[in-house]
Amino acid sequence: MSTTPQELNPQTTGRSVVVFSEDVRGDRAAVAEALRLLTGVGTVIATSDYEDGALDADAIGSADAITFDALGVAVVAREPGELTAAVASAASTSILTIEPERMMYAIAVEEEPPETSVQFADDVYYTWGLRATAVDAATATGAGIKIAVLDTGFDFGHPDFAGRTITERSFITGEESADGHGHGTHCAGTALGPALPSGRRYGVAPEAELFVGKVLSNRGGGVDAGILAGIDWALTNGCQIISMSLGADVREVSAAYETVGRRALNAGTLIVAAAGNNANRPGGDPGFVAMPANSPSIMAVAAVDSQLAIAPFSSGSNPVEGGAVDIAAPGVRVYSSWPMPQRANFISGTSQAAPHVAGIAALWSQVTGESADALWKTVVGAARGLDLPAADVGAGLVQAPGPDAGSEPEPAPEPEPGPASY
Amino acid sequence: MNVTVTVAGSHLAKIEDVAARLRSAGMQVDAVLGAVGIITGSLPEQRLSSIEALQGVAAVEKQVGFQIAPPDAEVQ
Repeated sequence: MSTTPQELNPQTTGRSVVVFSEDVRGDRAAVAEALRLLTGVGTVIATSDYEDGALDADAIGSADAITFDALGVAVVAREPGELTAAVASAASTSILTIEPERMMYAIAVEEEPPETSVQFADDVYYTWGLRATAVDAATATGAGIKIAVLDTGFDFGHPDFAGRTITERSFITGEESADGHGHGTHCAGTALGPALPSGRRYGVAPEAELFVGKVLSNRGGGVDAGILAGIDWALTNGCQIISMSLGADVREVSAAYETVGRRALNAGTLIVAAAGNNANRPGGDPGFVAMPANSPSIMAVAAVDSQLAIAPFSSGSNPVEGGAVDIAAPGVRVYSSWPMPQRANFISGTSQAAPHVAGIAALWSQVTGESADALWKTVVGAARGLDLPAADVGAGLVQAPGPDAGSEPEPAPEPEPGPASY
Repeated sequence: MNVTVTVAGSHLAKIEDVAARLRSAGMQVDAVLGAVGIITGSLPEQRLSSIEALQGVAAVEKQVGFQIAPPDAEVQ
C-alpha cells in the first residue's frame, strides 16, 4: 500500500491563517491596521459586520482578508511566504503565527452501497424526498384541499409563499403565530411549498391552502389544551388534513386524542402525526410510537433516509392498541423552508416525515375526492413496500398519485365491426 | 392541575351543559371545544374523581406537555 502525496502534503488554499497576539485581539482597528501595513490588503471584512457573527460564503470568497474578531485570527488572501517577509521587515509584535490555510473535509465513512440499494439524492430540481415519494412525477397539486399545520407557527414573510392565502391562529398565550423557532415553517414548507421556489422544489402540495395553527411556542413547547384547540379550529375551518409534527413520550393512548381523531374522521378530517424520535436504533432501542400518534384514529408516520433505511431515531410500533407505525416518509436531511433571512434549512426527524404524508394525502384527496377513512385507506394502500419490518415502517413508503391517477380510464376500444377475417 | 375532559358522544350537542356541570363541580373551564367535544381547564387534584362521575363526561386526563428540540438541533 502506498501513501498518496496528498496525505503527506495536505492541500492548501494559497491563503494564510494569521494569529494575532493578545495585545490586539478584539481591537478591530489595530488588527486592520496591522493587516494593512503588512500586506496592503484592500477589502477587509470582519465577522462582527454580520449578524450573529456568521458571515456568508460569497463574502469569504471575494474579500482580501477576513478577520475573526472574537478569535484574534484572520484569513488573508496571500501566500504565507509573502506575509512572513513583511512581518520580519515591519518587526511587528502583533502577529504570533502565520500558517497556510488547509483544505478541510467532512469526516465521512465511505461505504460502498450494496448493488441493490435504492438511492435518492437532492438535485437541482427536487429534494430527495419528493423524488422518493414520486411527487416529482405527480400532476396533482392539492388544489381545493385545506391542510392545517399545527406547529411553531410560520414565517408569513417568506418569499416562497408570497401571494398564498394563509389563515392563521395562535393558541400560545402572548405569542403571535409568526414562527420564532423554524420547525413550523419547515413542516409547512414540506407539505405545501411552492412548485417553483427559489431553489429546488421541496413542497408536496403547492396549491393546497395553508392553515397555520400555532400550538408550540417559539421555544418549542406546547400543552394538550392548545393542541386540542388547534385541532378544533382546523375542523371548524373545514381542513381535510391536519399535520402534527409533535409528540410526547407517553406510551398509553390518550382518550382525548383517540376520541378527537375519531371525531375528526367522522367530520371528514384526517390527522397525520409524527411517530416520534425516541428510538436509539444504533443502541438497540427501537423506542415506541409517542402520543398522539399512538391513537388508532391518528396516522403515525415513521422516518426513512435517502437509502430507504429506517432513521436511527424513528420510533417503532408500540404494543398498545393503535400504537403501530402506519406508514413511512422521508425524514433524514430534509430540505425545506426556514424563517428568513436563512430561507431554507436541512433538518431530520419524524417531524419532517409527517408533512410529506400530509401533503401527499392532499394530492390523493384532490384526485379521488376521498377524505377521512377512505383517504386513509388509499394513502396506506398506495405505499411502496420496503424491505423493512412493518413494526418500523408500517405499510411502507408513502407515494404520490401518478400523473394519470384520477383521470377516467379510457374505455377499451371496441373492435371495428367489419368483415370477419378468415 | 390542568385537565382535558372528553365529552361523551351522547352529550356533544349539550356540551355547554357539561361545561356548566364541570364549573359547578369546581373546575375552572378554559375552553369548550365544540367541534371535537373536548373541554379543557384546571381543578384541584382531589376534585378529579368528582368530575369523572359527572353526566356527559367520558374521560378526564391530566394534561401533558410537549417539547420539540431547539432550532439548531439536527433531529427535531
